[in-house]
Amino acid sequence: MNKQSCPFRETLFDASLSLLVLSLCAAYIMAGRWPGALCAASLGGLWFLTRNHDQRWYSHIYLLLSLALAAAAIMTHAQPVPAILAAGLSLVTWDLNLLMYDLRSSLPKESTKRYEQRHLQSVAMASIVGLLIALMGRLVPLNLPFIVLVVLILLSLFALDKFWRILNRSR
Amino acid sequence: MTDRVRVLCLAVLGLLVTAMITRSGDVAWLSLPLLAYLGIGLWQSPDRQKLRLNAARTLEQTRLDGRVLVNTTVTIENSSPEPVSVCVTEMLPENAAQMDGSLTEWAYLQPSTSAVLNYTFTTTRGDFAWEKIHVTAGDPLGIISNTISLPARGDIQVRPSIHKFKAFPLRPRSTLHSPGSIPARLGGSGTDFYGVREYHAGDPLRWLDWHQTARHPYKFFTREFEQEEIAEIGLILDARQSMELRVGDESLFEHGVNAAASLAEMFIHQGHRVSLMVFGKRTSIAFPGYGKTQLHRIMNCLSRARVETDGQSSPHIDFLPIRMFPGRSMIIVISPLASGDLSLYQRLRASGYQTLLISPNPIEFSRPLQPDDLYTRQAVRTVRIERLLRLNSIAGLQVKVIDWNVNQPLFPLVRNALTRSRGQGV
Repeated sequence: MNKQSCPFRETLFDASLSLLVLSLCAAYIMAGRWPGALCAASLGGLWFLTRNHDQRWYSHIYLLLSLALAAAAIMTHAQPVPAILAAGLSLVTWDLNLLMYDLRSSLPKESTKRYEQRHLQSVAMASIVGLLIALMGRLVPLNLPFIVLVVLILLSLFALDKFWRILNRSR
Repeated sequence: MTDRVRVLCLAVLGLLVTAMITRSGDVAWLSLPLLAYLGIGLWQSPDRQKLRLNAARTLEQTRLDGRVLVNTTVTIENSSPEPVSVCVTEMLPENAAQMDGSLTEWAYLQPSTSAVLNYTFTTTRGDFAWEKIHVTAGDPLGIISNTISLPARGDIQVRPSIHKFKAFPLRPRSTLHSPGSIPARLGGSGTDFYGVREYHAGDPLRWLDWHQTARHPYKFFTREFEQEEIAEIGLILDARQSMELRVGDESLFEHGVNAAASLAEMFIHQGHRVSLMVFGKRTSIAFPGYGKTQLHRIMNCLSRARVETDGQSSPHIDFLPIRMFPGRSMIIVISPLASGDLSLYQRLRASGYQTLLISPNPIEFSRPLQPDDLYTRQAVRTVRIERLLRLNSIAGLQVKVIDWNVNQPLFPLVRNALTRSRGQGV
């Protein structure tokens, strides 16, 4: 069975991965944390080399690692804006990697192209909306007491749990 | 619950817990793109109650270079009022190999539009049926997905390949009293002159033999013509486990099946009454019959014929129910021959059947597997002698034997065996 590869999809993935690595490296370098930048670059290189792997869980691991690196950058007093950008870009890169995996055995037909277009539009919308809200939250200073933050987080966790149950019921 | 959702929820959970532990609001902001991704997916997911998808399947069978290619087309139509992203997945039947197309199709369907999944596979003979097709429908991001089984019925039968044998005059020892093409050594209606007899009331006047009548006053004589009848033929295909031999993709049993199909087609085309028995762990029978309907029955039987390889032993050849075949019919056995098979031919001859054995040669068939060393050559020579002795002991029962190398055409051997005059051979 021939694997179908789409240059456009691969170009998008490469661009997204490059921007992710640049954002993470920038966050660490601005904080003077060279080992972190090195880790970010290594992660990017590893992800690039294994992007066509047969197993989906590789992409999941890379997403979790890149989010962990972004969180670690913030915790080591790096600039939060590049770290938040990196979180958004890691989501996009992960999604594109999974899309490449899903569509590699499909033929380049009109219906598949429409599916890919719609998917990319949705990913773009999700990442832009998420990043905008996150960056706006950074720009608008909200002096929330810690207890309010804890309550908000607990509410988010509760909402997430509800969402999980809805998904389980819909199976 | 897709793996995407699991990973995203795990990531969000991790980030929020980390934010709480480190008392850092910026870490919590990292989860916002992920939450937006989940939210957009949820927002774009179609209403499950309004989801209406229809599926239709078409199958087309062609033969190319001796292989059977089955082209399958499945059309999925979105009859719901909302657009939906679908993933259509198909499974290949057992022993099928994909030749072209794709078994998975991803599509984004607007209302009243359809997607087509098309693929071609090749397979050996058999019956193949599909009841449903699995479709996963949901949002474009794959957050909410519902797997639905849509009815998409289809069935196809792949028959054994038939090598067209030219019709040749058959000379069985006995015939059935039905009009056919075999001279029956009986007077009646026909085309070949047979003899002259005394006139009986009712004989057609155009058959009067005036020469004889002129020589015998006050008596009339009628010409008789040789009646032409059909033969009763039974085919026995040996499907015991010990008879199967595979070399790469080729199977000795498949050659036997194709030979049985070709012979059945030729005999039925000539108008004879043909029956079939596939003897193995499961015995399947096509009772005697004529015409295209009988050919379909025999092809159905042969399409399903399998050598059962589940480890249990096959029944002994002594249990073969030969009484299924009408008395004095011609029996053609297709079997590579095992050591205890002599008893079958003794039974057949004792029951009055006229028998022909077509034995695909397993030694010649397995030649590519045989290493070229002294011990192998000696072993092969011994096995050849053993087989020859076995065939000779069967031939001694006045059973005609064809030792068939499957790489050579079968038709000339069968023609030579069956067109001898009645006093010779079979």
